[in-house]
Amino acid sequence: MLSGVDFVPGRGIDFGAVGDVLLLVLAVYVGAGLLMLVSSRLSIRVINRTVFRMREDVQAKLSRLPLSYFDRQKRGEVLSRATNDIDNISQTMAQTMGQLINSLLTIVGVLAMMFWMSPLLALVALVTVPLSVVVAAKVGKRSQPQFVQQWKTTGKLNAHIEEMYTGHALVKVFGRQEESAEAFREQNDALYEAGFKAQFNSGIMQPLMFFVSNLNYVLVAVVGGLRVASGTLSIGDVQAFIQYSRQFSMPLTQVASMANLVQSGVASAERVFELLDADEQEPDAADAERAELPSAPEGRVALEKVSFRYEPDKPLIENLSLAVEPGQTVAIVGPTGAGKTTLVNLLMRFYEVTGGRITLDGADIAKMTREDLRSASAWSSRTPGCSAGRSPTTSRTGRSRRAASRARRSRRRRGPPTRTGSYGRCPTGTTR
Amino acid sequence: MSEDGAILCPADSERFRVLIRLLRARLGPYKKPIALLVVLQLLQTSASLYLPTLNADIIDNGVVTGDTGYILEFGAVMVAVSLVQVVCNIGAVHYGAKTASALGRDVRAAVFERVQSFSAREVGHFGAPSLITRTTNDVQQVQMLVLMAFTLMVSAPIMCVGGIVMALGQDVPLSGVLLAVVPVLGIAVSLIVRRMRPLFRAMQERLDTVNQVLREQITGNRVIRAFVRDGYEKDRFGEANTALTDVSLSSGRLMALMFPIVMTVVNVSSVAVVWFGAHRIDSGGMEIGALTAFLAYLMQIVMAVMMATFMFMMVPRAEVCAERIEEVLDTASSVVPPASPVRELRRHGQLELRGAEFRYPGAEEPVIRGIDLVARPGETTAIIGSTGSGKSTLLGLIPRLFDATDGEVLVDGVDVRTLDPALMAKTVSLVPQKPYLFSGTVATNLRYGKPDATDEELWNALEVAQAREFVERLDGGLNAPIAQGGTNVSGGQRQRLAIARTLVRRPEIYLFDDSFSALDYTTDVALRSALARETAEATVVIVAQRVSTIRDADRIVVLDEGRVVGTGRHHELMESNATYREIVLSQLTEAEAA
Repeated sequence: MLSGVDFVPGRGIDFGAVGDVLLLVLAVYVGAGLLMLVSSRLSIRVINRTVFRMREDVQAKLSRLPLSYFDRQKRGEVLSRATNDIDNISQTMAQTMGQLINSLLTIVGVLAMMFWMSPLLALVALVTVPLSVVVAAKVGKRSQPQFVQQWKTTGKLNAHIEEMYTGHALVKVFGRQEESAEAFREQNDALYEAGFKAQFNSGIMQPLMFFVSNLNYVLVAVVGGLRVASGTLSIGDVQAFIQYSRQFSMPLTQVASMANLVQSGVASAERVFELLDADEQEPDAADAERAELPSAPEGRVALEKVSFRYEPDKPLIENLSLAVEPGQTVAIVGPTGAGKTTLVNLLMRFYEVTGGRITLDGADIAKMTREDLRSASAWSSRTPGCSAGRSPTTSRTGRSRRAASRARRSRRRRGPPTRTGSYGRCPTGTTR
Repeated sequence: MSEDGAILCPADSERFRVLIRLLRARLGPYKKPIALLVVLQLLQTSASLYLPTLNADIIDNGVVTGDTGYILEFGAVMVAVSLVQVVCNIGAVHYGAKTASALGRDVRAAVFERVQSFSAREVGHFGAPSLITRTTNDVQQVQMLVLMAFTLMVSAPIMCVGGIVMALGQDVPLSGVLLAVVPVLGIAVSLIVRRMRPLFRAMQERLDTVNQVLREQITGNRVIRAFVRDGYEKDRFGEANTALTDVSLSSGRLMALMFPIVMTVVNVSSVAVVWFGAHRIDSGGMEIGALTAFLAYLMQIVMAVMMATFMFMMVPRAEVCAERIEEVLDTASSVVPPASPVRELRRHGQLELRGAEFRYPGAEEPVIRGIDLVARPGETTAIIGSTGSGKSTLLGLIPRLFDATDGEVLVDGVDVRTLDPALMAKTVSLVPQKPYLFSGTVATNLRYGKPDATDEELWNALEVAQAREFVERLDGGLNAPIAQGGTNVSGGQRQRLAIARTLVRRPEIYLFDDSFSALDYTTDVALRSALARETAEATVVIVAQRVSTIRDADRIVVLDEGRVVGTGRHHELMESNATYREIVLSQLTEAEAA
């Protein structure tokens, strides 16, 4: 645009030409604005869809993970991945994605224009690019582990908080508030350290890049000035060039600081993908070999030489055979730790047998969908876990409407409008 | 910014006040670094404001005249100014990041400390998952806003005002363009931000719902699978996720409007600047370098406005979070530690309840009422009653998981509300109904109540709790790992470990809340007889469902609908108490009960 104001000392300005150019420029700008709008909307849609699907995947994954996964992992840690990390991914994507593409394209475009106008000045303008790249790479390299650390400590702290809040009553009864606070302080300080370092490292990218771009400016001005002095370049061209080199370094600065921010998102993404890639329970058999559950199952249950071990080197159930006919009630007794609950877990396929098979009406339950199997059986846990939420959520979980309405009655009369959940928060132990 | 006040509705400004109150209170200790940060930002911003003027100088006096010496000289000045700018800026980033992180740390600590002081009642009121969000995620949001504010609150206004002043300095008549640009920009941006606020608020609420659902599904995983609610839960989550995405899309579309509008306004006005500038140059009123400088300042003003806008877009989310944080910090625990605690007890382990009542706030009827009960050292007192009769609530009053709403609870004649919490924890110990174990090892769990206990003490407690055998068989014995909640051992094993944990502590008053329910009969009998020897000197209160567990107790208290309906030994109650008879005969035959 500025080249329109080409100015040779001693001659007047051709306003007709300037006007024409400016009108064209105006049209280009308006068109660019519209295109920018369209592209922003597109990238917003892409980001939202991506995050939507990632959340969906995580939720679906939760129902496919074997229960043993939840036995091994701290709940607060899994929670942190499913909430804090996805949240961070969504925020970093929103802050970077649309802009990143835009900036990259601007760089390419401006570069082309510069070379077209004056290859020499373009090269001069590019002299500082390696410096920018070095700075960006240095800072980026430093901040990457900091971001990983930040989200790792967030997960750890979350796990500690979750455990302490869930075991709140015990902490009190045993008078361990101080120790719990001490452990919290340690983790909290670790998060402070990691958070500060990550923020600092991502914060200095822009000033450093800005500095490099200022150096670049001086360089272009010096070389440009010398060329004007020698008469090889018009002032308008130098002006335009300075504009271009600004336009060139601005997106470069942006790309660098965004690339840095993206690392925070990547650190989180790694944690989410770790969750998504965790080993799943055996998938339900494919349609072809799926055992059909009779529409009205008779309920003949047979265990054929069933073996099971939680840990590969520790046999728990070995070669157990048992048949239960419809109408029979079979009670399983044994000292604690003998594997009674485990047996029920196997029947419900919370865990999979490691040897032998279990059949329902003659069909191997391993070939049924878990859903079919569990619909055909009913189970009552000994540690009643209410899924949290307002109490009606819990009652919707099962089919026992009577129990639910009883719980509601007693709650209405004497209970607080409480959320159900861990110790001391369900109406009472046994109404669960 | 003052114009922002106009786009807040009353409820908004209340929320904004809450946010400011939180920040004021928590940023107090950091006055020095903040002052330093402001100074550094001032220097940094002034330097960046000076740079375009230097540029213009180089062009006008150097490039146009072809004066190489001038170019080099002012080039050097420019490099020096840039250096000052970058150093100050990095310093400001340092203090900003440090202070914002420290603020986050402090608020997290304050929330955690407050939650720890809560009674079971307040924890129940908020719900553990919500408290977790408030302690981590909510604080993170506030912290991010503060970080943003530190970077922008000084530089954005200065850049904006400074940009205008410097532009005026370059050429007054040309600055007339600014008169048109600034209001147009202001109106456009504030219109968008105003429409965005409610969307952002809705987004935060829906994000909470999504996270809440996920939390429930992780916590209630086993139940959901057993009852085949996967489909239902998937739909529930899908609904929440779609709602979140919808509002996020609408706010995103608005946001997508912002950048193109601002850029088009800027670009169009730069065309105007060039057109009018050309005339000014032609008439000799302005130098050509001034035109470049002017464009740079225009850009700077716009950037400042945009940055401020981004910050205000973050405000709604932080407001909601601040409100939720303050809600926790404003909630006082219903169990208040005594001002002048009693630190010593004369006798050992006498427990008395006098007319104790507990009522949830707002409930029509109390859960328990008029409870009179005495338990002495060397005696076992059993409490039996139907489901929901208030047994667990009664036990919870003693270690002050909640406080009686009427009447009093006395330990050795001292009201528990005046007892030193540390002494209380030493004197009274409760084995809860749900035997929760912390992640760690068998030993760390057993030592939970007495960190300096020797291995011998641990084995002894395990022996009494009938847990020695299975712990010996575990890989690593005392050092065998325990998963969070104790999910990697069986229910009965978990109960026995929980009992052993309390035994290690050796309190004067033992409270067992249905702690033998998962044990088989033989283990139950063996455990109770070992326990009787171990706790011969102590006061023992047992809540149970199983008659066999309590029939030998020195005193049995029958609870019904929150009242004591009978007290006595087994055979006395069998004769005189209809409720007790009913409970007993539902479990035992007439002959067994005799």
